[in-house]
Amino acid sequence: MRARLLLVLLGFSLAAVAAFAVPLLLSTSAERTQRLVIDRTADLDRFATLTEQADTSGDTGQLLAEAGRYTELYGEGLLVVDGRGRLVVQAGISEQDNGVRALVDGALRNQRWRGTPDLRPWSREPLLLARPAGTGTRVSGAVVLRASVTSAAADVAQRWAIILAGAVAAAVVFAAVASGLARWVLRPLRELERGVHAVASGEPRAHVEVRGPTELRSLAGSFNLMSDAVTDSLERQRRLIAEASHQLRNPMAALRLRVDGLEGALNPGAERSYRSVVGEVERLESLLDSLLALAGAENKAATIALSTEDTPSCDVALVVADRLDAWHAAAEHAGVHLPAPPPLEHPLLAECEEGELAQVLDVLLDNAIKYAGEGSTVRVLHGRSGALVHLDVTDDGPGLSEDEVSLATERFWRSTQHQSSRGTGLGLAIADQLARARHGTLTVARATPTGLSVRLELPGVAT
Amino acid sequence: MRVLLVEDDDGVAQALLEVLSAHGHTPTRVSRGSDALIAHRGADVVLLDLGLPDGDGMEVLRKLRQVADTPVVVLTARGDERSVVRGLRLGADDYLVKPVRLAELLARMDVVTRRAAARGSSADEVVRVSDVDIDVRARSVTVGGEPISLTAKEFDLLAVLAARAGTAVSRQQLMDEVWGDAFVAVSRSLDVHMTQLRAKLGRPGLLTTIRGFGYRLEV
Repeated sequence: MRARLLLVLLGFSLAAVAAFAVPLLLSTSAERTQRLVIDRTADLDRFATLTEQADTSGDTGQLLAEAGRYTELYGEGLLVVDGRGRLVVQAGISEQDNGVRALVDGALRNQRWRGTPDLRPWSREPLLLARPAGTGTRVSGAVVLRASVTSAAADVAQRWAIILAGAVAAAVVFAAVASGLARWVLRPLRELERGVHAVASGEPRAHVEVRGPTELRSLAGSFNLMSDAVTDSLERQRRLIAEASHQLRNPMAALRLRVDGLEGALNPGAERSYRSVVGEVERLESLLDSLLALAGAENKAATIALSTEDTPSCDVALVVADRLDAWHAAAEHAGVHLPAPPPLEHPLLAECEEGELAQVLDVLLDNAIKYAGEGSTVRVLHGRSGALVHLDVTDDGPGLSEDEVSLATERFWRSTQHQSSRGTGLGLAIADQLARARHGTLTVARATPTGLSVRLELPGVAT
Repeated sequence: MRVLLVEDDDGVAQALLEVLSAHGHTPTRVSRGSDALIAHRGADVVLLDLGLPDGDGMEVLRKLRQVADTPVVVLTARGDERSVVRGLRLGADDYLVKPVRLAELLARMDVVTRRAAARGSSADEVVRVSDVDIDVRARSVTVGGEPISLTAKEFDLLAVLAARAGTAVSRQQLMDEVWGDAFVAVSRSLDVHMTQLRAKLGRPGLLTTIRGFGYRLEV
């Protein structure tokens, strides 16, 4: 848009400058040419009179004297012939010169001189002027004057230079005004674009500067209001989730303690009910934890966007080793084989906090161990590909169908095969949020031949 | 044991009083932080909630630590990493997030009181954790009866954790005691050594990471 706007504005301003400058150039050169011609025509008239007098009196003395003085003084060529075409005066010009003969013949036939093209700064061709001598009816001779145009052309050049300099200056001023105008209109638009990106990337209360044309000013004002409204609404939602989960913790704690206290105090008939109560309490607990974690993960993007601290970095290999150690017992209990990834020679640094990576990894390992099933293998692989650090958690369990894979990071989504097992359906949503907050991605895909593979990619730190 | 319960939520307090009594302890409940500062004298362990009506439980913890060594287990709804780290830094012996399993609560209370009792006497020379024996004087470690070889730094790390088995040891403390001087550059080195130590011990889950704070040798 900027290029087009500038093109149009500059096109118009250049046309305007040209519309002023070109006629001015032409009229300047015409005026100077005319002056030159008038000057020389006066000389021509005088010599014509002298020629006629000489013709009448038969005495060419005065004509020769004047002609000699004239050529000496001005250095311009002069040729005079009498009525029968005989040379009377020849100074600095020859009858054989290009075009002279034709002029002489024309003048002897009483033809008046018909004008000359306007001078240009680069004109060098001398100006040939001719007129017949004698009265209107009888031609008594012809006078040809060859005038140098050098000084007149220099005058034209000088004036053209001034005019062109003025035109260039005007064009520069127009260009400056045009680019200023373009900036004035476009800067608020760019600012708005930045604001939209900021809102989209989750920056809270992303505001744009209110400036530029009135219409854009009011648009920027509305944008700021909208951004505030969006932030407020998100904030309220997050706080509701966080506070609700927090407030539920006390009753949950009391419930849990009392349920645990009942163990062993019940008659054997109530044992089954007791087990299922414990199961439900545990499900509630993990739902609460997940909701809080999700609220925290959603908050993360905003916190990171506002943070002025350096981007943290952590060694992915160390965090993986730490989490594998922690999940080992659970994997063993579930009958899942959880081998350690091959050791790396160098640290594998990613732009992310240790705690966040551990949280993501916990979700992935928890899912893999829970759903892969007894006898399966869960492999964790990490490495670097270009500027990205990637981490894969792959199992060879039953996996998910193609349709289910695309839904896996949705909140509260759970595969129909797993509806009976405990789980909140929030794990991958949390991991996804955390990855996004750190400008990373989380991809769920089917593994070959069977199973599920989740890949986390994070911006790497050069080592 | 005598338990001082600092808890403002009646439901939780009643449940705790009942289950602790049922397990042979003698709990006393106060609901305000200022009362806790007066009542802690007779207690073997303090269970401290952080959201109290008369101010932040962290402040109570700080004041309590200035006057007494009584073991404190923080029991709170605040589960974020920052709060956990702050609580442990201020001198809590353990930090549990509500809701908590009764068995875990009782076990944690046991660990902190046992450690407090052992604080006066000289440290054991041989620490035994499941099938891992750590002989501090001989600088030897056996796992399931088989001796394993550790580097000097790895053994030092294990020894520091073993001396406080069952409780959280901060990274700062580990770095001070093992490296003598806690450079920032040492921090990553600590992680690397800890990873190697775990691999050599081959007992997953024995050394727990407390994110943002440090490590704990599980008992």
